[in-house]
Order: sequence, then structure tokens, then C-alpha cells
Amino acid sequence: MKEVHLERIETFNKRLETLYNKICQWLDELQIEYTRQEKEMSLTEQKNMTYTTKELDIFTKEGESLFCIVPYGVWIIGAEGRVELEGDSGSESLVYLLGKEPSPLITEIESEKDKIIRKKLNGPRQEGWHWVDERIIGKRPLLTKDIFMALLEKIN
Amino acid sequence: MNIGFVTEIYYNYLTVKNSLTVTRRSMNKKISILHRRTIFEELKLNDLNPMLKSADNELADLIVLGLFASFERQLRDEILDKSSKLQEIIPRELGERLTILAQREIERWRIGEIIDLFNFTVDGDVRGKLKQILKYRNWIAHGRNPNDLPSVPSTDPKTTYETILEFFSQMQGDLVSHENKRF
Repeated sequence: MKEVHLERIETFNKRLETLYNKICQWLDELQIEYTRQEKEMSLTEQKNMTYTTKELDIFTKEGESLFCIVPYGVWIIGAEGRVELEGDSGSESLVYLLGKEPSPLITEIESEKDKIIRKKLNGPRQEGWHWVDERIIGKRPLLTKDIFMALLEKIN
Repeated sequence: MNIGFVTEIYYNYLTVKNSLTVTRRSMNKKISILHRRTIFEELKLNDLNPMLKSADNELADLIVLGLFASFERQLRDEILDKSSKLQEIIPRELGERLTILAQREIERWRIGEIIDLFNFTVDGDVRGKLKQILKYRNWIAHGRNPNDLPSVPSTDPKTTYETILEFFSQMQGDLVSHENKRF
């Protein structure tokens, strides 16, 4: 595998570790009792690109699965990686986005209202894990504690 | 340009995907009356997740395929529509023959080249993304061979739908401004 690909995989795994720690920190803040397990898994993407990464499983103190985060891939169109947040009733995708401003959806002549909506209300995009909310087009909200807890309800 | 067809596919996807969630919930809550005379009637709970996960992945890939096919159709129709201008060529008989030939040949043009026709109005990022989606779509259309994975990143219905919308918006924005300049 090329050096550049190995670096990208390493970066992805570091970002995953940060995500897992952040989520556990949120659970701690909410005083949720849980057990944490990380399992190594193998992913294959594109031709001849197999690598090792980690899945996170969170269980209640009774041992019931609360959710798991399963890496989906590093090479994703429009993002720097994707994971699936999975529960009993479904899953939601999270993608890692860089801080670069997304290109606008509409490039017709901008009215003042367009500028306000796009530049003032949206603000610059923050680097980090974002939720792929399939119902709202043009948006990928940054994953916050509140969004994460709402997603837990959605997938369970 | 009618992007309604593309939007319809995306919203049909959301309907089916959410139906899968409802099915999972009904199984987890053991509301067996809902499963009568369906494949879920005899299904064990342990088999449910892998089965629905597989269905979810399959659905997403088929939707990417459908969205791109609809986008391609709309784009070709737009060019076919514009090619009717050839009919105005004098002598009229030549114009008509050129129109027939052009309309037949446009169906054979490579979609990647059609996308690049719009490089004067659609930015390179959007065109590049669409070409990557095209390669991924080709992999799906040729049977999703696990031994011959695509040499491009993977994608999902939302990214595909948004990229198509962005292409149409940039394309139409420019076409509209050109139309306005005529008056």
C-alpha cells in the first residue's frame, strides 16, 4: 500500500479514537452507567486496500447493547471517512469533514437574503464528525452531545 | 430541466429506509400481529439485524444507481432539446437530417464528456464528484463484484442527490443568466 494511503488510514484511526473518547465522555457527563468494548476489525476498500481499524460497542450495566459504532470507510466521496452509529432499530451515518467551507448549493445571483442565510446563519463549517441527516438537504450538522443523544433515541 | 424525477427517487428512498426502521422496531417490540403473512413471521430476532443491514446497503446502492440514471436521462434530454435548433439550418432537408443524426448520436455520448460540456458554468469540484459517483455507479451496475472493488471512494444516496442538485443549480443558474442577457 502507498505511504499516502497508510497515512490516511492512520489519521482515520486517530480520529475514530478521539470520537470514541468524546462519546464516552458525554455518557459520563450524563451519568450513564455502561461498559465499553473495542473490537479490532478488518476493512477492505477499493483495490488491494485492506486495513485494521476498531469498532466501539457500548453496553448497559445489565449487558444489553446500547449502540455500536462501526467504521464504514476512509475513502468516501465528499468526506474524510465514515462510520455507522448502529442501534436495535437502525443506523445513522457520521462523516468526518474538514473545516473548508462547502461549495454553495446554488450559484445563481445572490440576493442579500441568500447571503445572510448562507454566510451568517450557517457560519463556517467546523472540522470534525458530522451527522448525515438524510432528511435535510445541504446540511451535515456537527455531532454534539445533544445531537448524539437524539440519534441514540432514533436508532433504538 | 425537470429535477422532480431525481427528487422523487430520493424521497422514495427515505420512505423505504424509514420503513425498515419501523420494521426493526416492530420486531424488537415483538408486535407479531404486524408480521403475519410476511417473511418476518418466522424470523428469529438474531437473524433480523444482518438481514436488514444487508437490505439497507443494497437499497442505498440501488438508489445511487437510480439517482444517477435519472440525472443522466435529464441531462441527455436537455441536450436533445437544444439540438432541435439544428432544424433551422438551411437547406431545411439538411437541417432535418442533421437533427436526426445528432439525436441518435447524443444517446451514445459518454456521460463523463457530457458533464464536462458544462465546465463553463459548473465548477470542477462538482464535476469531479459526479465522475467519482459515476465510477461507483458503474461498479454497482456491473454486479458489485466483491473481488473487483471500484478504484474510487464509495458514496451514499444523500451525497449523490446533493451533488446532482448542485450540478443542476449551477448549470441552470448560468443558463438563466444567459437567457436574461438576450433581452
